[in-house]
Amino acid sequence: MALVLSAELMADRDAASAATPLPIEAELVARTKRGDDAAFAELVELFQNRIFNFVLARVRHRQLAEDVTQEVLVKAYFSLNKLREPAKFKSWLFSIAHNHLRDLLRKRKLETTDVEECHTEHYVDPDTPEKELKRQQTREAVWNALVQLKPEQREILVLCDIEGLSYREIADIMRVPLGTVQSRIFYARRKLRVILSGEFSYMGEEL
Amino acid sequence: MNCAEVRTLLSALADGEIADDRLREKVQSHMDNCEACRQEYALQLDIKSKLSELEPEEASVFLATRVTAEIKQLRRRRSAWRWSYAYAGAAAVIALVVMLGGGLLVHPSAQGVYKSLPDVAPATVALPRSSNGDGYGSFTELVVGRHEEARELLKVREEWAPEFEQIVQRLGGEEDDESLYKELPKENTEDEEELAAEEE
Repeated sequence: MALVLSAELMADRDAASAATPLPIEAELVARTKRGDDAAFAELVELFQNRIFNFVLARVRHRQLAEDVTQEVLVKAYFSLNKLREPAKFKSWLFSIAHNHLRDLLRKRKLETTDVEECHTEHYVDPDTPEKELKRQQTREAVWNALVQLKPEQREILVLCDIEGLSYREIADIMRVPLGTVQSRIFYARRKLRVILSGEFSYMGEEL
Repeated sequence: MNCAEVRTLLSALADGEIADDRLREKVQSHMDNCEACRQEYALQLDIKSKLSELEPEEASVFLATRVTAEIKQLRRRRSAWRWSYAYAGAAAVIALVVMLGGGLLVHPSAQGVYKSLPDVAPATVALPRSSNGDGYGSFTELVVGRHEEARELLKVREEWAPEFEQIVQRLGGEEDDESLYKELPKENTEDEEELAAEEE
């Protein structure tokens, strides 16, 4: 019988973070609410790429990801009065992105089974040392494998391993129980590993 | 603990999400004696680390500008809506005042002013006829009569104004059509809206 981690046993990262200083976005949110447009511009600067990557992993199309990111940021601006804790801006913003994507994709059914070209080809300097080259190849392979996962699996790995959100935050964003977060991450990583092994064996490398 | 129980906790272990020390120790001690679970745990850590090394994609440099521009545009549109409600309210109040005030201007007591005008002998002045064809007996009568006629016309105008506007529009035809009726003077409120649009 699989043991699902209950809420009581989970590390309370929120309690731990209460002792640490407020993140910079808390101050920026407070200033924006007072009418400081420059503060919101800074927030956009801080978060646009993070939301962009999150959306990109879901929709796998650069232009669409940019459009959706824009919509999410604008939506966030006009909903700021609904954010009660400025310190939680990050996960609140990801919440908006998650919900917006869900509504959009439900209406427009944009997700295809084909993988679009969304990863920019990084220029590889021929003089790059072997070690760095290998690292870049690994990153390419990881990205290519990531976009082949199912949407919920992609999303959860982006939130956990790329954005570093806690299980509780992810549960709030995706509106699923903690146990689901835990098992979804476990199986998503496993699946990614399987795809990666295939990628690497194609490239003639052992993982 | 058996392997099945431990496996599902391995992601949480890798992510530092197990707060209960005893539970964590149980998982660790199982792994000390289980190669398969050790390998599974190593896989979880490996993938986690590879993902964290991914270089994030960069959105276009113009995205931030587009976001700001859209916010400004939406803010303007929302305040324009508020202003147009204010204008509509003000226009309604003005219209009401005009309709009530217009009645006061041609109040019967104003006739007293005309009664005091000097009487001119009918023989020396050729008085025009009234609208119903009757002559005026005196200059005073003429002025009062004309005043009464003007008042009637004003009343008629108020009653017929909405229909009149409709007829003008129908005669005016489509936007691109040429028509004499296009030259008719517009209402004040439309000018105000045009000015407001130009100022933006």
